[in-house]
Amino acid sequence: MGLLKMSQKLNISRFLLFVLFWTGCQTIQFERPNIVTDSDWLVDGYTQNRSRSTSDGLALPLEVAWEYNAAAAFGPGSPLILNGVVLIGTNKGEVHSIELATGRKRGFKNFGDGIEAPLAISEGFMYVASAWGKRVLTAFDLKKATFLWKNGGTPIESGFVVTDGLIIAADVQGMVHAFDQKTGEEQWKIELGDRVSVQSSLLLIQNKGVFVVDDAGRASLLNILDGSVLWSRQLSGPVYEGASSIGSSIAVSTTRGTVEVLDSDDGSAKWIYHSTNSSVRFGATAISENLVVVGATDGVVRAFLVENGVEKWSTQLPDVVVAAPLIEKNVVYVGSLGRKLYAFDLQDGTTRWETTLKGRIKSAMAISEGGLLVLSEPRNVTYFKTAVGLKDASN
Amino acid sequence: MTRTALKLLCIIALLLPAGNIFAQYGYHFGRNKIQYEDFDWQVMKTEHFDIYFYPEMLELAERGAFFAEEAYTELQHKFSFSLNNRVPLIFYSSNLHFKQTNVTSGFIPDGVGGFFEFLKGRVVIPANGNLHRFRRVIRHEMVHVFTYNKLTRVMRDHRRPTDRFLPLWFTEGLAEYWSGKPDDQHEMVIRDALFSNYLVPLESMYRIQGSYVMYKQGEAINRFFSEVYGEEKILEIIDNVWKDRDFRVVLEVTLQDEFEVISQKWLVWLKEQYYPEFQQIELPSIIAGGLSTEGFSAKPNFHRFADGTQKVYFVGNKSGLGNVYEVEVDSDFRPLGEARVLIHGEQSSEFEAFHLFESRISVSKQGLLVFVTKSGGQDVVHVFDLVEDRMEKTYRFDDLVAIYSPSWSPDSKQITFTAITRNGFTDLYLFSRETAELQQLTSDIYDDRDPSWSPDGERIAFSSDRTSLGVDGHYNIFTYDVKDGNIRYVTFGEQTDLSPTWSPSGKQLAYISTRRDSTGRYTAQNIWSVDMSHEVTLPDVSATSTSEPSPQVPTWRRTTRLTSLSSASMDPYWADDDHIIFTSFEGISFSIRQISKVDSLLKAPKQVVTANLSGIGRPWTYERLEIGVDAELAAYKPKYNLDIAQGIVSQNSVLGTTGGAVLAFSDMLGDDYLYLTLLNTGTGSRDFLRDLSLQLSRFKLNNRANIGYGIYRYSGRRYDVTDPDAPIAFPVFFETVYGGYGLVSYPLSKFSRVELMTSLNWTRKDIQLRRGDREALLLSNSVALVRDNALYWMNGPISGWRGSLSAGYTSDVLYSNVSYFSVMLDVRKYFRIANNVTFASWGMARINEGREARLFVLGGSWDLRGFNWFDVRGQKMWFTSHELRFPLINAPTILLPILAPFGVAHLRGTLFFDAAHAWNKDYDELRPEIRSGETVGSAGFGLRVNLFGAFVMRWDMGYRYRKGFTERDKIFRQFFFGWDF
Repeated sequence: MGLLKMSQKLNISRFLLFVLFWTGCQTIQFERPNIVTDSDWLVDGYTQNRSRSTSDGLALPLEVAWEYNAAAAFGPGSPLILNGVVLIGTNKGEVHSIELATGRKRGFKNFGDGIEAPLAISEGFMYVASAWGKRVLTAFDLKKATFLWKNGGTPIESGFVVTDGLIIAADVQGMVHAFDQKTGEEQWKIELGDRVSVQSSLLLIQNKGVFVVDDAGRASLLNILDGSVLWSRQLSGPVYEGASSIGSSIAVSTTRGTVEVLDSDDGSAKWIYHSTNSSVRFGATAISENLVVVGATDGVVRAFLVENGVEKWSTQLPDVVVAAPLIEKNVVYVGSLGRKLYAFDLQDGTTRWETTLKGRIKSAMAISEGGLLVLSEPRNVTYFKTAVGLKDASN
Repeated sequence: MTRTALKLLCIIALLLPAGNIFAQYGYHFGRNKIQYEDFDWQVMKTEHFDIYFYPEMLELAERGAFFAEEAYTELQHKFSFSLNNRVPLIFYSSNLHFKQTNVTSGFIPDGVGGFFEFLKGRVVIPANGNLHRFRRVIRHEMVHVFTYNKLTRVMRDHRRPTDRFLPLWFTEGLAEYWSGKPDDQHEMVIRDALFSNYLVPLESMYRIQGSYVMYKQGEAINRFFSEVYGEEKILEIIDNVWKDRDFRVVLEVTLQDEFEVISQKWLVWLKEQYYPEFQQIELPSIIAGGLSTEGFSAKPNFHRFADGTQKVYFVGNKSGLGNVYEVEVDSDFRPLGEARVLIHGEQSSEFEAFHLFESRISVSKQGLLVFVTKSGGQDVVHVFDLVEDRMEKTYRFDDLVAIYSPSWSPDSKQITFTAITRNGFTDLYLFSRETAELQQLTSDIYDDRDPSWSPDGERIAFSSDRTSLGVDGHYNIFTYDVKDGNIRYVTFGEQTDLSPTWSPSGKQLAYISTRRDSTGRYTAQNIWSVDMSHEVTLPDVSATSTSEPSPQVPTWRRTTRLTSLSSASMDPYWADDDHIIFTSFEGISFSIRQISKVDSLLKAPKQVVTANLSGIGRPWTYERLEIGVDAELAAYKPKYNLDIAQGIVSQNSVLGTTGGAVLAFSDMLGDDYLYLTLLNTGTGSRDFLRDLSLQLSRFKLNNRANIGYGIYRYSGRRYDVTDPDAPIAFPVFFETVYGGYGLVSYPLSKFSRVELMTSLNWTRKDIQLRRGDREALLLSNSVALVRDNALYWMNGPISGWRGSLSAGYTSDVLYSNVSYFSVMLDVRKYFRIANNVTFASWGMARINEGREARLFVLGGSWDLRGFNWFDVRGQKMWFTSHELRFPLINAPTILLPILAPFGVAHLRGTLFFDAAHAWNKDYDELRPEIRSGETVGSAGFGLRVNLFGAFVMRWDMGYRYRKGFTERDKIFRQFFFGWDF
């Protein structure tokens, strides 16, 4: 009997330990989420203008440092990085936190149904939008690991902007909302049009406003304070992929074979590139001081001069490119639906390095601490670092 | 079907490995899918595809490869997606070759353009002579490939089960919509649906599930989504499927409208396009007299007999089977009675299929009817003497696979027709009945069809996409000059001109034409006529397309539109000076009709268009991917890939728990199958090896004779009521069997076959309740002749007959304990009393005679009703069953829409009578425990209802009779699933 009781106690304690471990995993918590460094990616694309260009440099070639199974696929945005921890929202509705150095799981938390929109972190809070379900926008206290507020409403699939104490997000029914960052109360809202949806992430145009473009191709710059339209312009086609901005230029791609660079002052087109095939759908853009880089469903990666739209180089790939490229100092990284990750020379488009992943690359990438974070199908987070002893002399 | 039957036979064989597997269910019905051709398969590897083809169709395969890569590039844009696996494309050069494919075990009817199979991701497509159509079908199937892969990806990304499919109307509609502009067939169906007022609303699409109308409505709905909500919304719909199981919710979320609003908007959108035409259109049923308006009728022709009798002939399907019909008409072409069947089709190997909508028939002045049927692996030409009422001759041409639309020369000495050879291209041929010579008139990639000989015998009019506009799928009318072999344009333009027919004087040529109007849509398919009374200087076009057209000479012909029909007319035939008979499409029905006063119509036509021949361009062609340049060639090597891996767990109160797995492998072409089955009935780890059963079987289907063989070990407890060793009351024993078997199924025709089977089993039985161990080495051989031409409907056969005669011998070659022969006869005949009423009769006799012969069994819902399963047993027996099957409610879902999701259809009733007598040695030796020695039976009433088109639910009640029907038991009720016998 004594043995039996001991055995029972042992099993109970094992069970309790398992429960504790499990519930411990089932959360995301940071000691000091308020303290951020330059290597942290608090929003999709590093900055809220989502230029997807960085001055960080990686020495090529790269090799896999670690790989993590996130249990589901990802939206089009990039992973976030905070205090050496990677944060990723999945299509299953979970947010996973992974140690950047080791790839070890720190925890995960379920936020409801599928997450398509990239996450955002601000002042120790993480904001998560859901593409389906009752709770569509949630503020999560990373320090306390508790919910700050949850909002219902229409699902959100595009990235939002966090600025001036506001969360500004556009839902799939074309309504742009501004919520108080602390309370979740709606401060203002504006309807973009009848039966339109916003799929492309919002951009914060410094000192000017919030840029939003809907799936009918209507691009607008909104006043952050009240949502009033500062300017609005009809583009040459519907927009479904992420735009990017730098300085006074906003690069937008359409599903009808065009790429446009707009002047953020008045929305006028600085230039429009027309593909010879209007059925080409362009992917998300990346923009640096000089170049706009964009992939497309024709498998061509094109680099245009920001200034005048002249095509500086182009490279034909065998597969579709939808994910946003990532521009670093000398190289632009491009992921394809053919499971390939490429590094092209930023100046002439020559292939500097390439590798094959387990699945299609449909999400933007992030660079931090000398490594490249790539999200791919079916549910993989891969961290690449410079291959030891194999550094590219030209880099 | 022979393949399915073969596999079924083998599986049953292996489930009953001990002794004579032949004894109880040694035959199976079903028609035969025959491999007539010995295809030498090769593989062309392009960037994204593995294309399977045979050398005779190399040029087609290279063009198909180009079409496939072209479609891939376009669909990458539309789906914003890349495929990460190579797509297997299996091409056949003609429909008749396509019908032989083993990728699917089912029969492929006429009109199926291709299919996509999920298991291996295979796409199977025949070319059949029309490159434009071939290109479109490849696009259609590639849309399916992309849709399936995209949908699967979306579901997996969101960790949703991948069993969620899009509605069929959406996927088929999308495949149609994204494979090209709406064609004339689309317009035909949509116009008819609107003007005949049967357009099915979005919420009721299930009512037309799988029909041709569903395809075309689905296409219109997708076009509506694109034009009203935006092209990108279609992809967004697929992207949003993970959000809800209810597709209506997915539509609402994506399109941001209530489902009812979407449905309503679609109806309004369509009506706004078509209803402005209301004032101009003429319904065939109002303006054209009907000669045959029931069922499906097409391809009319006409003959006036010497005694003045006039008859119209046509091909039709009024009762589920294609036949040639005749109907007598008066001088005004009014029918003088019901159409009657002249030649019965689809129930004999001579007339397997009439190609109802593809091949015209022709009657000569002498009263000879020429028509085409499928007979074996190819089409043949039949000549039937209408005056003598007898079949005169059948012509079979070794090099011609498919033949269409034969037409007599005025002197009845020659026949011209369209044919497809093994290369898959369509050309015109001329056959001389006097010399038996076959002459090929054209030889190129163009689709030459519907030849019609001029009354003076000098020209053959035909329709062809050889027009310089043919690259976009247009057809114009041409003439072939019999004297000089030159081809000349008759019409020219961006239109589809089909089925030319000469007026008796030869001055006019009537044909069907549809053309895109200012909206870009095709018009109705109307009857037109072109003036051939004057000679014009026309450029010649070579019949071989190898030389350039003659210098362009501006010229024209006057064409006139004679009708303004609501939807479509087809196959006009100029019966006499004042009458044109034709096929009309109205209310989803194809009818034979006539228009009179043709002369007046020519004088006051609905529309006059001058066919301007000055703009004739150069011949067109499609590109191709050449082997060695754009693609690599490899020989086909069968490689087994896993099809199914399935676990099996069963719980039985007698046999206990059984666990195991089935693994099925096959090659890419479905010619070679391997099955591995593992089962274990052991109750503990100690018994694992003792109770392990396994079988390995192989079936080869690539030849006309299908063969199967395998080895097995069976070990475990068995419940076998047919085993004479087993106790009658509780026939359970432990048995270990080692054995092998071989079988051959040789189809004599589509309807009959011979089956040979042999097996050798070493068996040891442990019968604890009786005699202890019993060993035997059983050799069993059997032969069976099976015939089945029964026509099936929702609940079972409704006409035709099927039968089986089989004989076998089983003996114990080691101990000589067992030695008996078996003879079985089973005949089932179905008398179709009325269209929906069938009287079915079944007679069966079985004999097992000899030492330790097995018992036959009867009882249960499938044969002897009112008795429990296996209640009646004996080594000899006769059985008869008769049923009157009649309809009760054809569409229960209309009365109770809640039944719709369950696929409930065709509630039918049956009155039945069953009788049987089983015995062993003496006919009257009474053994109540197995109910032998007495005649038993039942009579009563039953209900049948079909579920999902796949299961039939059976419920019977009646009285049970015993002792020669002298004693009646209380009322019984039985419920089970299964088709009518």
